[in-house]
Amino acid sequence: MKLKKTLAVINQMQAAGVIGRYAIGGAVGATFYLEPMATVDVDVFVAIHPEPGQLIATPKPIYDYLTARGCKTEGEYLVIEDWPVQFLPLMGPLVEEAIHEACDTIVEGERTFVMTAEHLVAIALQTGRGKDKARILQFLEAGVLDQKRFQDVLRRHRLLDRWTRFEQQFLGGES
Amino acid sequence: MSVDLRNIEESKRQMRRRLAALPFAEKLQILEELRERSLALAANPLRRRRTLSTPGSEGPGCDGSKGHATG
Repeated sequence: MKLKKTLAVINQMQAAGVIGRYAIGGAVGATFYLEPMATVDVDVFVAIHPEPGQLIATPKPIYDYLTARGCKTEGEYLVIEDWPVQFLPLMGPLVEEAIHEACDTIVEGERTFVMTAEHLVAIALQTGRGKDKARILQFLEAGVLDQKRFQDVLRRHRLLDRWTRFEQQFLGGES
Repeated sequence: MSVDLRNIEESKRQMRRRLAALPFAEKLQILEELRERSLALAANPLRRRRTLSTPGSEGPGCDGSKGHATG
């Protein structure tokens, strides 16, 4: 499986200290909980360390590390073992928590980290595109959310109002 | 022909549940196959010809059989 090799490269990069803890989100992350869904890329949320002497972290070390190992860039993607990977830096406390609390799992012997279902849905709610809303509905239909944990995430990250609006729009106000 | 939409819907739901219950590695394998299929479809010359065709040549067929000259 090519994705296993992609994960192995990301793990090597983590072991080399280029990135800190990471978590898979997006469609690949959702596939951990739901039926497989077509996607063309892998979203990897990462804690990026600032370079020595720098205050602001940039994705440059990731690009340098991977391009030095033969990976090509395609727009905002880095192609690792045939899979376009988008490295997304910490974009706020919700993503930071999602990375910190990600599930530790093994794919054919390769260790990796996947965001919890509650965090994936909260991030989709925060992002708010049409496809994110569709994915939230998939999670709800699959019944994989821990409701207490989900409500706690929404409360901590001030997403309760947005969730109420989502419920009114798509669930007819039911909870 | 009578079609019981509820049966179809329930059957689809069961299929989704079965797929969701597979081990993650197996689901990733399926995801890879889906991706390869999507890329193959995107690269199909009929689709490309359709995308590049002139305005007014679009047709209703999604298999490329209508809406533009296929020879």
